[in-house]
Amino acid sequence: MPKKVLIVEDNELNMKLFADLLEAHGYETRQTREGLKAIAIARNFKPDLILMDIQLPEVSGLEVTKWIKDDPSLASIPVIAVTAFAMKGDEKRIRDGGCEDYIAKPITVSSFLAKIRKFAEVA
Amino acid sequence: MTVTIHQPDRSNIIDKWPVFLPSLIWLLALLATLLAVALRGGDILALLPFALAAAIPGLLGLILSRFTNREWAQILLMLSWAGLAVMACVTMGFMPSALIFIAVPAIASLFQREKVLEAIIIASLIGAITWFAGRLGYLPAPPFMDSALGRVANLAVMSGLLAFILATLFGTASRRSQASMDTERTYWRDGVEGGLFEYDAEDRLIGTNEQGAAQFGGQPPNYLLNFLPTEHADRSAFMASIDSARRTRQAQALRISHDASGLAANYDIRVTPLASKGWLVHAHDRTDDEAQLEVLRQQGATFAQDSTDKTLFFAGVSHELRTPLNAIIGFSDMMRSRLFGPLPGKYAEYADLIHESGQHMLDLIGDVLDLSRVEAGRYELNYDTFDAADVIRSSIKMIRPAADAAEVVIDVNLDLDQALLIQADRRAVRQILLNLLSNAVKFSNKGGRVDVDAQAIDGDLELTVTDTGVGMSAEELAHIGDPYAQGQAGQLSDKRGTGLGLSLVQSLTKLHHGKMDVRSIKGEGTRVKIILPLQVD
Repeated sequence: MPKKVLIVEDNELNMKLFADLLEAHGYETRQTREGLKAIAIARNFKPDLILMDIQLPEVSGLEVTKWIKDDPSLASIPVIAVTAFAMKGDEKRIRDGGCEDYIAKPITVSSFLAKIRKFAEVA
Repeated sequence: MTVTIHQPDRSNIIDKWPVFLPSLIWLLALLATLLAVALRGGDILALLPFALAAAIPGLLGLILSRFTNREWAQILLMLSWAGLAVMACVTMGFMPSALIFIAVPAIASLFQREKVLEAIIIASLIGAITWFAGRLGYLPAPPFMDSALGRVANLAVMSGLLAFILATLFGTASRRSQASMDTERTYWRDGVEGGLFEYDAEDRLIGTNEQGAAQFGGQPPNYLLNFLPTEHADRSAFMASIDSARRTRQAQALRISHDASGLAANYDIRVTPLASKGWLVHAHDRTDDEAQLEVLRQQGATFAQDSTDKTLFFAGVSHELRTPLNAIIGFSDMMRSRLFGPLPGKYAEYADLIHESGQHMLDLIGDVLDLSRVEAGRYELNYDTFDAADVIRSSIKMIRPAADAAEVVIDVNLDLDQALLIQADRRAVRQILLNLLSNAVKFSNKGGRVDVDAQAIDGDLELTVTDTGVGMSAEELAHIGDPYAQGQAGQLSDKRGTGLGLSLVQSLTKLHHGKMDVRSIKGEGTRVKIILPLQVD
């Protein structure tokens, strides 16, 4: 039974990068570019992990994370933020927003996979 | 320099006594003469017309000293005395000398007010000529000339005259020094920026300077308590200042927001109690200063806004750039790890190059962002005490792979027994080191060598990175710390460019109140020395 990862990411290339990388390593992925749709997909897909881009066009990834954490059926799913906000204080802001961990763009393949593995395997 | 505009007459006894005192002495001398005559059994009645005539200047002097202009009183008095002296000396009779008595004031009136001494000399000359004329027989013989009474009368007249001359000379001298003081006062009054108003112990205006008069349209208030009109908005504050100045004997300062005519304006007022119990009021118009300050403030705000805009722009751009970089670095990384199978030789190398370039671009973006933050004053230092040697070792570890690839040897000279404890921003120090090291490696030729040396000297951390690389020309050295110059000079075409990295190193060093020293010889190498204080002040 492969582990399932929901990827919320608005950039097409980054989405492809994450999806290819994860699928090559045996994960099953579901993708959406819209934060608003993420909740419905998550309820249906029941992922082991959610990769959340913070800068989304309509609602912020942090907002979506808040909805997920407020929903009893989803609250236990780890959310890993993926963002290019590599500024001081961003990490704190993201963790305070309810995300379990944080990956800065651009990613390094090895450390990216290590982090995914850490959270997905636990679930 | 112009003279004082408003200078009311001083009612000071010092200025009056050159008239008053001689007049008194004269009258006393006259009285003594009459007394002497009476004691000797002389004919007082016969002397009375002379005595009355002689008393006129004395009485005149007493009256003039109270009312009349000082200089004129002196001249009139002196002349009438001179006439009387002539009369007494020559004739001790009235009629023959009446001509001189009248003529001398007429001559004296030709003189200017200030020529008191000259008037004395002329009058004395006339007196002497008359006296000689009498002695030579051109004038009728004086009736009492040879009597004891005559000598006593002469003595009295001479002593009165002498007293007057001395008093006049003294008065002139003191008036001159007063005048020079006034002149001096005028000079410094006019030299002072703003209006100056001097009030005496009775709160009356003594003087002001040009600017002060101008502030009140030429009519400065005559009394201190009227300095601000009753309807003036700041009057109560001004009165309170005077009160506390009176109480404490300390100068008081206040800012008023209206001028004398009630228009909005800014004046700095300073009320200073003087040793003479008088007051000095200084009113400095700050209205224009305020306006200029406001302009500067706005300019400053605009600059700050520009700078903030720039920082936000760089932050935005940095974010925009990282998104495609993620794909570049990520996909090339996947290719390098041959995730989907083997890669033919050259392509594997290209994947490596794409990945490496992506990483380099990422570093550059970071540097640009940091530099813009430093320039906008938004790079906040998080002070922390740590061992600089640790940071040096970990930085070298990070740069080692690149050095190995470039076949450059890194040699570290660190005192292993001693911790290099420093109070600084760890991340900034690491950034400084990484930039210096990567520059040194980047600009070294194959087989080159980079020396890293760190030691604590006199409360500073001295960090030196020396390479045997390509070095910099004098012109290139001059552009360090000016990242925007690099684009013009086209140095980027050379290797990967140093300007950005070194500029950032310099900015971060400055933020720590440290110093950067760069020595370089083209073709021989570069030595960069960073001096950071070990302790924050």
